[in-house]
Amino acid sequence: MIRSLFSGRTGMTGQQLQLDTIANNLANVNTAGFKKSRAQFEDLYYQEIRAMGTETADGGRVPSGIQVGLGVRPTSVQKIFTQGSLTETGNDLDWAIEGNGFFKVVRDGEDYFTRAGAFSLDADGNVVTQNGDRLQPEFTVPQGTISIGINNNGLLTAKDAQQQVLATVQITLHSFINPGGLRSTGANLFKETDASGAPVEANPGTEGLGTIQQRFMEVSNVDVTEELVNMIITQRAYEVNSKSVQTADKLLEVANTLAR
Amino acid sequence: MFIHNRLGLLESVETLLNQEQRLNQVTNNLANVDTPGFKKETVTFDEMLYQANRYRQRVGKGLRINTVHQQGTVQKTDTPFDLAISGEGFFRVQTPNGDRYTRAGNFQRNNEGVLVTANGYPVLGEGGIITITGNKMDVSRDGRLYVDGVQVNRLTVVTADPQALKKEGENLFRLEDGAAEEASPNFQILQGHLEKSNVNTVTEMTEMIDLYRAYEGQQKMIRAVDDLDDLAVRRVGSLTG
Repeated sequence: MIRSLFSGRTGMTGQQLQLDTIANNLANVNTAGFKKSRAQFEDLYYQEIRAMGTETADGGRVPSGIQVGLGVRPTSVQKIFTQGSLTETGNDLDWAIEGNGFFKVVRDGEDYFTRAGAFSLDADGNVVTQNGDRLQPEFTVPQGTISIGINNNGLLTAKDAQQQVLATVQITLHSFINPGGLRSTGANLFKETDASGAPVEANPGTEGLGTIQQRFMEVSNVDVTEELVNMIITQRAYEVNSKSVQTADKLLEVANTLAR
Repeated sequence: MFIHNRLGLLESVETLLNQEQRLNQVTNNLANVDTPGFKKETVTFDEMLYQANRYRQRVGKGLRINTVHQQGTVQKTDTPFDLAISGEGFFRVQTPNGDRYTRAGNFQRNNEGVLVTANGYPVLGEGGIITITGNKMDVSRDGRLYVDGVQVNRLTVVTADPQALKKEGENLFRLEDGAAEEASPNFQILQGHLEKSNVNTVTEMTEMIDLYRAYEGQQKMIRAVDDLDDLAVRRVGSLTG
């Protein structure tokens, strides 16, 4: 049986995954703190029809054997943690991280990490994400607070109308040795895995961590032009792979019409 | 001299099978059009002399598959752990089955800070496994690795006889027993770049058209031989004509 039918199919499946990744990137082009992904491929195993160096009948050796590759398979969909650009929003609770690091939030008793620094206050005055998950270390804004300020190094201060400091707290960031190993859980959140390593907590601006920019938001790092170019490439790659399946089919047709 | 027309049939069938093999190769190339560091394969045929029968020698075709180690296009990705080799050579990678070679430079840092391939195999430098514990990794053009400005290791970039390099899947090459590697004389490392596959879709598509027509032609040959047989059975020796 012609192997091409199946190796062509692996090519088409691979390109589908590529397109799924591109579509998700494009869908999140306006998601704050979103990090784009890219699909990675590797060649599948090779089937050996004639080994290299096999001895021929007259004592010579075959210089290069026959190996047939069996197609392609995806290795990983890798998150790319490059910096997204910052846009000014004017909102006191929009904090962008310029550089490495993640905020830690708690959802259902478990730790999650995010770069989407668009926070709000809940009914009790806690600093929470848009989904109501509390920022760590937890901070409750005291009664009578008029303004909330956070400096580049993460020192949060709540002031009243007379500019008196009511409360302060040090906000920390967390870094991972391999952020690409974090699990995306949706809702702009990431979860620690064995591959990412344990989070290292430190103050913003120290130990290689980024600084905090108040009243700014980090937009998605998806580059629309790049994604569209990749989409064209993906579509064409899908097309050529479908052609190999078609050609394999035509060869079988020719073979089938041999006998009359 | 008596020539058996079955020889024609035999040759045609051989060619048909060879064309199928060519299609398998083209398909594998096309399936890997997006695989980083992938090197395409081409099929060539050599003439081989067979002793067909007592009276006749026959020229057959020996199939040969060559890996084309031509440079693939290098694409800018701006991801610091993406390394591309411009020029000759391979990265050396440690796998459970021994050292392997690759040009797919889509590396990552694992949870222990070790520079690994997409499959988690450590990339080897002159000082062994490369561990990056700092914040920023820089790679110079000659492969020196700097972490936060301090040199920690140097990437090993080696070449070997292309005939002795065998594909193993997972973007890896294996060196045949007895073959030796040597330091690459001529290469540059580009950080934040990735070498793409060297498959050219236009070439592969024309190859596909070509092999399809060759296949079709051989089918016609088989039919012609069959027609001769048909005539022989029905007409030769017939008295009524």
